[in-house]
Amino acid sequence: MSAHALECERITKRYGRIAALNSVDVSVDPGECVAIFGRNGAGKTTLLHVAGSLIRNFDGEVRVFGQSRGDNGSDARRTTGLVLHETCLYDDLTAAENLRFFARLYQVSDAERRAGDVLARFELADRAQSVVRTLSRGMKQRLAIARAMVHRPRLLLMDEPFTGLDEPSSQTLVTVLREFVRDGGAVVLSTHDVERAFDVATRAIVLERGSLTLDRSLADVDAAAFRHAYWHVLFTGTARA
Amino acid sequence: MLQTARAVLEKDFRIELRTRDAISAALVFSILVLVVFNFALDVNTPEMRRLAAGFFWVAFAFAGTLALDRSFALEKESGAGRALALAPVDAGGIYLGKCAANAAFLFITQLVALPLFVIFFDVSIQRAGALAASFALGSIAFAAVGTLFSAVAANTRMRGLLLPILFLPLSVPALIASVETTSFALGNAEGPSFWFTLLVVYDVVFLTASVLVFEYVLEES
Amino acid sequence: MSRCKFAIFIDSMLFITMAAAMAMIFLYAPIESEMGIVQKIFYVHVPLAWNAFLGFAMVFYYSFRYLSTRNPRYDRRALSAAEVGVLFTTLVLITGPIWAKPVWGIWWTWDARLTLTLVLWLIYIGYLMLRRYIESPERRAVLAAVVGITGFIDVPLVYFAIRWWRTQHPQPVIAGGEGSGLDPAMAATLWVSVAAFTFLFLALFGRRLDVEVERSRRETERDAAEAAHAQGVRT
Repeated sequence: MSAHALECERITKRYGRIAALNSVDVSVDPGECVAIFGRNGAGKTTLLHVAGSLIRNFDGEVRVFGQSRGDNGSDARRTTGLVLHETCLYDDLTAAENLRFFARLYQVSDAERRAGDVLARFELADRAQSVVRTLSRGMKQRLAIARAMVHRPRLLLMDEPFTGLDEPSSQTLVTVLREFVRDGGAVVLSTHDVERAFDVATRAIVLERGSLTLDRSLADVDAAAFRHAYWHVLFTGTARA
Repeated sequence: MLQTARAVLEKDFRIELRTRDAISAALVFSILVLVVFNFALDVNTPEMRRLAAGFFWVAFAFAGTLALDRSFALEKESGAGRALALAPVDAGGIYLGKCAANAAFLFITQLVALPLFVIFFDVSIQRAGALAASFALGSIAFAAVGTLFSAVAANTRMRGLLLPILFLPLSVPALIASVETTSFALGNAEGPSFWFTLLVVYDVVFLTASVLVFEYVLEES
Repeated sequence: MSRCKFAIFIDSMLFITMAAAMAMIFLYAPIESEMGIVQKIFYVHVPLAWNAFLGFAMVFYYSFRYLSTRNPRYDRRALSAAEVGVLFTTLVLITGPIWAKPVWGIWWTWDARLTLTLVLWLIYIGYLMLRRYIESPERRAVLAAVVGITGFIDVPLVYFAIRWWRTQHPQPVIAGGEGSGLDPAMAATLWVSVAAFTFLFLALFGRRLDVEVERSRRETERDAAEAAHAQGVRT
């Protein structure tokens, strides 16, 4: 049995009256990069939060590399990197201090060097000693992604990672993610940008009002065709055969 | 667990060194309370001088809530606390680290405020060792409960406003014991052994209980 | 159904014991020689205090059960026990001064038991306030349980601190503390009254719990209805 990088089975999450997710089944294999599309409030963020065990009260099951996200899912935590809307950084620490701190928590053996490496990878080496508060939004976003990768995760969950990034930074991120996937990592990212997603994603899913309405590989479609299919789903509520 | 605690402690110290938010807020506030006491009650009478330890700790209990509130406000600010909660570490370790940082901040604030206190209230320190022990054990007591409730309050809509309401009633034993031990150090009370014991028991009980329940406070739903 | 039968049992016992307690308080128990008729409030004050304490012990127990099982039923019980406990504590804090003023000449004294009651009242008011400011039901239940547990752990510490503090700071000596060599008729009345107020506590607790159960049942039904509606819209 080959373990999926991420396996979500019949995930249902309600917030009081509203079902944010309605029996969603998704699995992602190593080497895949899955883009989640959907309108605002369709459940993209909730799905990422459930997969990243930020939300623990839900129905269904989540497994990361075959490991259940139980109460003691410390292996699952170790293998996951999470990028959220918030930067998840301490604004009063420098870029390097933030990375070193999180590397230490994840018991990365060569914390110092690893922090330097990811900073360089995201072209932030010259700002390593800058306090996060003083960084621009795009820099913070790159640093947030660097933070999520500092402990060498094998599964990356990213909520709109391209937000706030300029063109060169986006290209850098695309390159990093391609390498990550090529090396056997798995990525799930949510986005609104179909073209950008096409640069990196191997598969796309569409969420609508908490339900999965489309799940297709991007190997044999081009961006225009996919956009057409996506819009069809959005406006008619059904996927075309 | 101790490794995590150390990492968190160092992180909070680094932030405090850079911003001085917690200590300066607590310090200014405690001085304000001492000044207000001076005008509300004429403190320069022999009877009032006997109560000086009480004034000091009341000022401190309120000022301390500012520092404690800051402790988890900074975790919430940019969502860093979420990343902290997701790391594969023991919640008890995170608690101990934050608690140690808070206890240190409270202790430092007390040491800085002490000369002013001595001048304002015209008291003399009879037993320096007892005073240090009183400050240290008292700071740990307030930090032990305060750190836990700071994390609880940070999860509510009211944020910091709920912290004193939750935490001051529980700290009543610590407050009484701190006042009595400080009073002893200033030569205004006798028989401190019960109070020192109570402070130690209080510290141990709440540190243990908080380490055990902290994982429930950290998780999100 | 068994809940219903149990409720009927509690209510009947409440009716019987309360009637007996009232009769004994006003007809059977002798009038206390020093304090006079006002001493009879003692038969209400003390049972209220004991049951308030029982309520907070229940909050502790159910909070603990909630954290270990995550079953919302325990959270509802903890909430109900806390509310009735706060109600009883409030009554203790009202009946105490009513008793104290004519007997001791003061409304309030910082005596160990009174002070403990006041501190408990503040702790559980905080517990109830905390619950109001958390939207998510699961988060609310978990954080309330944390406060319910630590709050109760604090009780013995508060008690010893205040008692020792009292011995070091002598105050005007107050005669006629409860429990010192009670007359047998008075003791009997007290025990019946304790039983009556325990049933009152359980009856109120049960009623409060029914309200909470009904509320969560309606919420579940409404959610299900809306989920079904949403499903209908989609297909």
